[in-house]
Amino acid sequence: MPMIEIQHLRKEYRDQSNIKVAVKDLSLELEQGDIFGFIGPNGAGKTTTIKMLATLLIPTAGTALVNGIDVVRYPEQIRSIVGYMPDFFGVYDDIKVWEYLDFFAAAYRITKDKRPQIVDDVLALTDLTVKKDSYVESLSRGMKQRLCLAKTLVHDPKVMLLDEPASGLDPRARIEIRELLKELQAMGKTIIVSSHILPEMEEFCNKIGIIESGEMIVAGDVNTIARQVRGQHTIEIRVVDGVERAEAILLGMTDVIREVKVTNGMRQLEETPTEAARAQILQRNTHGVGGGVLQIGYVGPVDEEYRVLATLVQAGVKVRAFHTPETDLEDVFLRVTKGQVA
Amino acid sequence: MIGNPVLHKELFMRLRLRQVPLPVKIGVALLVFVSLGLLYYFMARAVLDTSGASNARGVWQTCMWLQLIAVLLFAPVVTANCITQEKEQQTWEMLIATRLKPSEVVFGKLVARLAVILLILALFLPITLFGWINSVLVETQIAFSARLTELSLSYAVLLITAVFFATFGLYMSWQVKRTLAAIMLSYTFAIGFLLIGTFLVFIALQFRFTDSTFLVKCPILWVNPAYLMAYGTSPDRAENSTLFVVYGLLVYAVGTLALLWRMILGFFHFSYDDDAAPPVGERLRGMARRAQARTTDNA
Repeated sequence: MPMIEIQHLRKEYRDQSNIKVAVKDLSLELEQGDIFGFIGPNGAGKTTTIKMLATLLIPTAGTALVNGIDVVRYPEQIRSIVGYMPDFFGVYDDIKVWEYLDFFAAAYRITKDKRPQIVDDVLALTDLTVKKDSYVESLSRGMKQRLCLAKTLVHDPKVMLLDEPASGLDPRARIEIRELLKELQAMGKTIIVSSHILPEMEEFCNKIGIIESGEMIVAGDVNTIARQVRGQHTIEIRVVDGVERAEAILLGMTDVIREVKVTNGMRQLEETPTEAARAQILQRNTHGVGGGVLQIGYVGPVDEEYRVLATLVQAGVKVRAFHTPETDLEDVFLRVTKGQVA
Repeated sequence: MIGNPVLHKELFMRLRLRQVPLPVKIGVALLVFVSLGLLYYFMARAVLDTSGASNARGVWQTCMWLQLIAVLLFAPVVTANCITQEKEQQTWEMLIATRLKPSEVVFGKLVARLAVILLILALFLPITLFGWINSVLVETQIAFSARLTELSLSYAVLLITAVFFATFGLYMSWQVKRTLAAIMLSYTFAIGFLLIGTFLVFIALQFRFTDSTFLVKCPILWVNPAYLMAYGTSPDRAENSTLFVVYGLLVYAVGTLALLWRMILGFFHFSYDDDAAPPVGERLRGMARRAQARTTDNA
């Protein structure tokens, strides 16, 4: 049974006499342990979808099940298994960190005798133990963000809905949040996380969905989507010596390689060689001028990738690394979206 | 109610006033202490220095009026920021996404803020009772039961109107997004409409109420807190005064229950968004549908 199952979800808002559709016919399935990156421009419908799953908004049509439970029929049960972190949130004044967490633990019906241990545990997990007796308004933005995440964890939810958890944070705080999400992933939580910082999403999301104007344009495994969208996927080859020779060989493999990008250190030699340049390189067919990195747009079958490596090795190119780098989500995002809002 | 996390937070955490500077705290405490001291001094002197019954009676009635003014001024405003403050500091969504029942949120906030009003009334209680007991001792020609009635009616007016105005402030706080708007709307309704508006309407219509039973025949006056207090403290002032006050208190009690019902039902539908909130009839049908679905699923 999927942990999250959304079928034809729709949300309309009445805007005076007009009806504004925030989410149109959205369907999605996530298994336990999935980390789903929800990507889309502002106003695309990400927050609305997350709020519907968090039982804060009622869908106009469609169904949403979390762990098999309908979010509209059984909101109370859903709240016990879902942790929600809004995109914009505040903290109460005149309240200490442990009191803040104790209050939310009480609000999630955790008995008084269990609360101190739970508060200690979530503080340790979010690395806020030293701030236990501090007042929440004295915390930095990053710490408040972690405190909010700690609040989201007090009732040990199976599903976490995190709306822009790293927005507005400095790089260090973003890294801290990212590491925390990886820990949660290791704990088996199913997480839906929306963010605009796409490179970071690549690191911990195993699935992504791109939404625009309330419609899910693509959803699924990150690499599969990248391949679907671009019609190719990138392979990065690092060579110790013979970079030009390697380039010449790769450019000759036109049946499986669409483009070759060569970099030598920080210097980019050739991005998209013209036909004349390509012919010139092929004719030279000389040994290279040193080591470098080549990125190729591979369009052949995935299980035949090894042939590219074999060809290079047989030709005497000293290959140091041959791998598929992290997918460039920004590129995927820009290709599939049109910059429209719902 | 004791285990209500919202009530606990409101009472023991948010009233710490940690961010209020110490000199301000001391200044306010001194102001309250001196004001109350002067009030007690002059009231006690008025009661003790004369043997006239009217003074003792005047003292406790004045105290009741002062308390009514305090209720009118403070009750709407102490609750008007209850929910708007949560919305403004962006804690509201996180609160209603928990497993708290709507009634816990509403009553937790209402009771915590009403405690402030009750504290104010408690400060007046000794001097009020002192004046009342003295007037009872001096005015022996009036039956004790009648005096007990006027005290009961007066306090009933105070307490029931306090609960109503506090509930109305909370309702406004739930309805709008800004504290200032909630306070303005609460004051407009409490003072502008109930206190002044109903009086003006009565003035305009008084040619229709020429007989002595005008109080019970003019429902617009039933909700005027000043009239209720005037006839509560002196039931002997006009015919059917007691009935009139009881009618008024019933209206306030029903109004309070209606507001609470509306808020709890609104929360039940877990939708804080005005645009998304369907009409009450639809909500009731939704509740019935969900209850039916649960029954079917359980079966």
